[in-house]
Amino acid sequence: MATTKDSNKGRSFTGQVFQRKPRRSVMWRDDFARRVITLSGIGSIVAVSLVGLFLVWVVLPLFTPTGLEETDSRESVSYAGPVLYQAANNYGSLVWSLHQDGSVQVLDLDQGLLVDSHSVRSDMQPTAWAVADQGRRLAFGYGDGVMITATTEFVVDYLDGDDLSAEMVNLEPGQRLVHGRGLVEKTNEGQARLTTLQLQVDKPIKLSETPVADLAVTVTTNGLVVVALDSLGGLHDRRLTWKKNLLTGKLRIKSRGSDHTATELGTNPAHLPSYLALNDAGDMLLMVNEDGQTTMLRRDHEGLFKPVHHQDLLADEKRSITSLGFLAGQVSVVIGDDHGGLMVWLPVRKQGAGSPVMAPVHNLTHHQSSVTALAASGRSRTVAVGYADGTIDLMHVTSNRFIAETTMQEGPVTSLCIAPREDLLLASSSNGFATWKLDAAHPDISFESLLRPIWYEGYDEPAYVWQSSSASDTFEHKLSLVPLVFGTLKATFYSMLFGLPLALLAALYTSEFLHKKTRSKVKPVIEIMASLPSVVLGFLAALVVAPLIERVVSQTLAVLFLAPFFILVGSHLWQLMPRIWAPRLDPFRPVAVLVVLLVGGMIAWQLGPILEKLVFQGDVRAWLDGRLGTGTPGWFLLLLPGCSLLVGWLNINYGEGVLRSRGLAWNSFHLGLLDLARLLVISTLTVGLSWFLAWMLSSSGWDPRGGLLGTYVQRNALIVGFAMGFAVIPIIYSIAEDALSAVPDHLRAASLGAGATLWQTAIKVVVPPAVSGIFSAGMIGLGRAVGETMIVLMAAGNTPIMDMNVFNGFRTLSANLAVELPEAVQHSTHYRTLFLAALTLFVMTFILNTVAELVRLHFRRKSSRL
Amino acid sequence: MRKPSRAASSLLARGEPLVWLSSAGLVIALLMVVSLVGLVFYNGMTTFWPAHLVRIETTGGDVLVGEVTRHDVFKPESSMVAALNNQERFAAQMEMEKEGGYLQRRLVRTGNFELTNEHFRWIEDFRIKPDGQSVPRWGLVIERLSWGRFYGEPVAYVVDQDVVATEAENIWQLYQDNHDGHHESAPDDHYIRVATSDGAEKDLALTEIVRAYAPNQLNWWQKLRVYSSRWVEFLTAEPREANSEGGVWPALFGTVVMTLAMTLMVVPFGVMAALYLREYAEGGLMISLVRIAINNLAGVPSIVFGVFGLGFFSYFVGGSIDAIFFADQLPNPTFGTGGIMWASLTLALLTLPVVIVTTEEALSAVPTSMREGSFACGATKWQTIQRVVLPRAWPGIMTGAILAMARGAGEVAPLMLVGAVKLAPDLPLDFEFPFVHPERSFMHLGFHIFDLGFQSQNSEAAKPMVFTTTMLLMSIVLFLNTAAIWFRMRLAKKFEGSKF
Repeated sequence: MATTKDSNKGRSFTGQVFQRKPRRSVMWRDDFARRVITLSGIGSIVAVSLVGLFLVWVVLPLFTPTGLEETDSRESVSYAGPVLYQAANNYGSLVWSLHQDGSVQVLDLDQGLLVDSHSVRSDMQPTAWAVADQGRRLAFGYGDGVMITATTEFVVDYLDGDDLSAEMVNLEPGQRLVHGRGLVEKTNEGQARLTTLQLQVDKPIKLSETPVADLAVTVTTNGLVVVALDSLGGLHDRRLTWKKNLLTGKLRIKSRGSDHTATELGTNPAHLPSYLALNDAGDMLLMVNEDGQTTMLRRDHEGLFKPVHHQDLLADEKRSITSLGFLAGQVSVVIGDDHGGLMVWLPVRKQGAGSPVMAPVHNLTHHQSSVTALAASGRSRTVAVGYADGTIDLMHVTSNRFIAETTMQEGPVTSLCIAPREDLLLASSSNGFATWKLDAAHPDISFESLLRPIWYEGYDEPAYVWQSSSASDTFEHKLSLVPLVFGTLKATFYSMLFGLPLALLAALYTSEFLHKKTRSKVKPVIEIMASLPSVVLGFLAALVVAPLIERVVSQTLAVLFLAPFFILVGSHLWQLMPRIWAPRLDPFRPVAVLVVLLVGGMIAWQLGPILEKLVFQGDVRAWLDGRLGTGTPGWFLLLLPGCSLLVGWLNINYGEGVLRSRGLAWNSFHLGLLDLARLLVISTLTVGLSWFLAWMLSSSGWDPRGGLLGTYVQRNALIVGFAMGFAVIPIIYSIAEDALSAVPDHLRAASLGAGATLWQTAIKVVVPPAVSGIFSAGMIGLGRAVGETMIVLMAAGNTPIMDMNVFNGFRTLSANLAVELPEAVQHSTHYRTLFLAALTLFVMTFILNTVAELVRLHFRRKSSRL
Repeated sequence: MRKPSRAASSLLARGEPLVWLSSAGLVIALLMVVSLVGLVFYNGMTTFWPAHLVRIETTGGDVLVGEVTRHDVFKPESSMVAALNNQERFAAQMEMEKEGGYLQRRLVRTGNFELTNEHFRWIEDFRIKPDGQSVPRWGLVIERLSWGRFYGEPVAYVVDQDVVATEAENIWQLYQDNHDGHHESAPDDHYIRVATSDGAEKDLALTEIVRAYAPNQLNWWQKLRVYSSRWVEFLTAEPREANSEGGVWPALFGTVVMTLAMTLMVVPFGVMAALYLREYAEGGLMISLVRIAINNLAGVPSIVFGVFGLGFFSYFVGGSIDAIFFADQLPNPTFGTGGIMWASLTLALLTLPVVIVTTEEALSAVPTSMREGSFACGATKWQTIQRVVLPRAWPGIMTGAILAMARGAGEVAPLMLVGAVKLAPDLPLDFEFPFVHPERSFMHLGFHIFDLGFQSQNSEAAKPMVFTTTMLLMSIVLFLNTAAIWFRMRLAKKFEGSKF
């Protein structure tokens, strides 16, 4: 071979020598094209796949563990006595601490230098103290029965011109310097920011003759509420308001309130409560003894505290409470005992009881040592717990999430503080303090909080809640994906319930009964339906269809339930027509169906109010509200489709054979009449059966209202199901029709030739090989329904509730994204949770589509063998 | 032996009831499409047709002039009937008895918002005096730049505070002489004094008037002129009155520019990806997995792409661009927020699978024999693709591109996240340097519909506009889809007889 090739080289028949190699430019272009196409081809494919990866990348930080890194630990000699309470400023650079002697000391956190010191009252040490609003409000009680309130504030000042010293000018951004009674920090913008603590002490208020034993304070919209307990057990309740004098511009404190003696309250003066806890509204007070015995007091209508309830907040007799504090928002109470037990209690309204009682909601016990210090974060339900052995735990209460643990070298932790931005943890022991850098970006998210019912403040039981924003500062995100997933499934279910049968029937009819020419015109029309923008469907559903249906509920129900019956009646009448006409008239069957549908629809429309009177006692919507009647009619409607399928199936399997063998001698007209009679009989049977079952169900105490049925809301699942039908039907139709048409014609020919009718051929010969294609059509339709956004956004009412009721709205994952993502702050917990919702959608549709695709490939392989 | 009876057995075997049910499925589906398209087009086409002005006197002594927008039947609350005076209650009860507890009412667009604080009023039929309906010959409909429509009768023509004419004909003549349909060119001290139905008078400056006509005097041709001038305004003017009046030009422009930008991005890359998959890539498990993945991505909800677009393009890429090039404007974002570029990129990603899949189909429809023929003649791979494969696949590729355009034009959900806004002050393309402003947010017809229907305070007045906007959007999308279907049929026909 090689020799022939060689011998031919350079010679040719005509004497002309062809260039065997292409020109270099051609080769170069070929190579270039190959590179460019490969590169951009792979690039585009990668770009598309990036979508999923990027979502994962944004979501991941939600689940990464929180970092806790010790930055500083030093012994501070400047502190006078143990620290009772601490609070840091926004930048984590200054901290003030409250001491036994009533002094407030300000410390620079970089070097541990004492910067400033204040005293509330110089002649006496306080006997009781309380703080509110993350340390911004203080109250002190003294041995002479006097109470003094004070306000702390970190004042920020930007220095310029003459105030700047050379040292300050030379500071690098981020560096700090003690200056006078404050701290100067160079900001990233190059300004010198001076932070000082301002302590404003109000006029003393005399409460009683005996020493103040305990205090509680809370900030309300009008001012402060202070509750004090004197050493004889008397309770002094004061509401403080500040009035500005219009002439002098001075603030004047005004105090109103009431005093109660121990006997009035029914408490034992010899056994005084050791903790007072006042809630955020200042209308509920807990007096907690060390052994857990607790009296709950509430304000009555005159505004006076009255004991309403006694309970024990410690289950174990041997334990005693060592620490008690509120979480942010002052609703949840955290109680720590001397065995390391840590419980969070919430006021819960039990069914039947008028006033709430405390219920143990979260058990955070994690340690054996006595709890010595508690500190709640001001921006989330994160709590830091200090123990006698120096251990410090950080956990998130609502999500039951243990975040981190660290230890302090010297002895019991006396005081803890989480900086306002949750970026710093501060702990003091009797002779030192330590700080940790905290990175608790998303403490409130765990798989449990996303997917399990969570017991939130203000709820009487664990619940699935999605609530991402509120006007209140101390509001807690409630980010359970369950209501949204439920909404998505509800929308999908009703749209498939409506769309799937219609689309499959339409596909079957198109491929098996329509003439080829008609088919080629019908298919594009339905495909055009696929291209209708979903915003159009949503707009029409919400602003045209929903208000219309709302006014004609009974007519709509009548049309929905009677239309199939009229179709069946129509078909039986059609059968009565002489057989000879059939070949001519069969192409006009859809026209007859249309006529029957229109006429039947009109009859049903007229029947609607009559049936409403018969079945629903005259008012469907009142019935749905639960104001009328029993559950029977509702069950009847719910059971009717199932019963008709059951009766129909029984009829085909058992009735048909009898009729066929008996009807052999009959002519076709009489048989048709008999068949019509049979239809009427089995329809009556169906109605009777479902009414009987409905009656059984409702007399055994089951009522569909509150479950599958309920109050009619204008934008509801029924409307969404209908509107989504427009989106789902064409997709299912088109794929299913393709699958049916792909069944080779020789199978049909053989079946028809063997004497089978068109219907028998369609059902027994054409459908079985196409089943996997039909299945994949359903899956792809499902995928479309899951992700549809605009229709549900506009027509579903968008309340994230979990209600099975067909006539109520919902919120889907997709609509939630459209509503909330534009407002979510980048990288916030909310933002990342929304990305998680998007990822959920992505994964759901990806799985559905993959299954559909695999089935379709299988189908293609199978059908190619036919 | 059993005697076979052909007629009897075949009647039941024909399964007529079930055939009817499946036929009903098809009929209902078709009915849904037809009625939806019909509803939108009917409402959209009739919106701008000038309606008669009616004057209604009620038994309560109110007089109102306006256009009747629609009629309605309602079931009154018993408390409402009880609150009526004797005469009205009697009339209402008479009607309810006759109609089975229902009452008729009509919604009248009364305009004159600055005087009455309402645009619309419901009037129950029983409230209307027996001969209380009339058609005022000189009732004027005046469309203004602000405050919505004004209905009334001309009283005087005022030039610089001097009354020039008081006869309706003369006033109208003067108005038409001075207002040629463009409020910009009208003399600025000319006013038309109009009396409302309750006798109040108001001077309306000609410069404020967009269009005025006396509908009850118009013949069919004149109505057609008003109708078409409204259409021209709708297509070419800026929106007024919180988008509920005026035009949709910025939204139309935004939609077209965004869709074109998207197509320019998606088609080359989609075609190259398909070429790679079909012509260059070695077959195997990897490629079939990629193919499945691409098919899947075509089914991923559009809102997910929107989320990606916001997080990746706007915040990540845009934020980086801002940090590098526009640091002086921070914290105000330039690229780090929604914009037309990010929107079209997001939609390009969304439609990429569509283009890849359709192009691949078109490429695979080119018979291998043709490629082999080309190779046998000594052509290189690229030459084969360029001269043989691509020309044959062209209709298929066009189909994909058009389908992508249709999808892109009709998609709203992702745009809500990446840059469509209810009112954009500037167009993304203009005569201001550098002429193309890819960072600007834009208006979009689909978002316009959503915004008008759901965020508008005066949703009743906005409804006709929603219908016309819907019709416009649907026409664009339907036109593109029909074109795609036509291309696909041509493709199918072309290849029918040409297989070797």
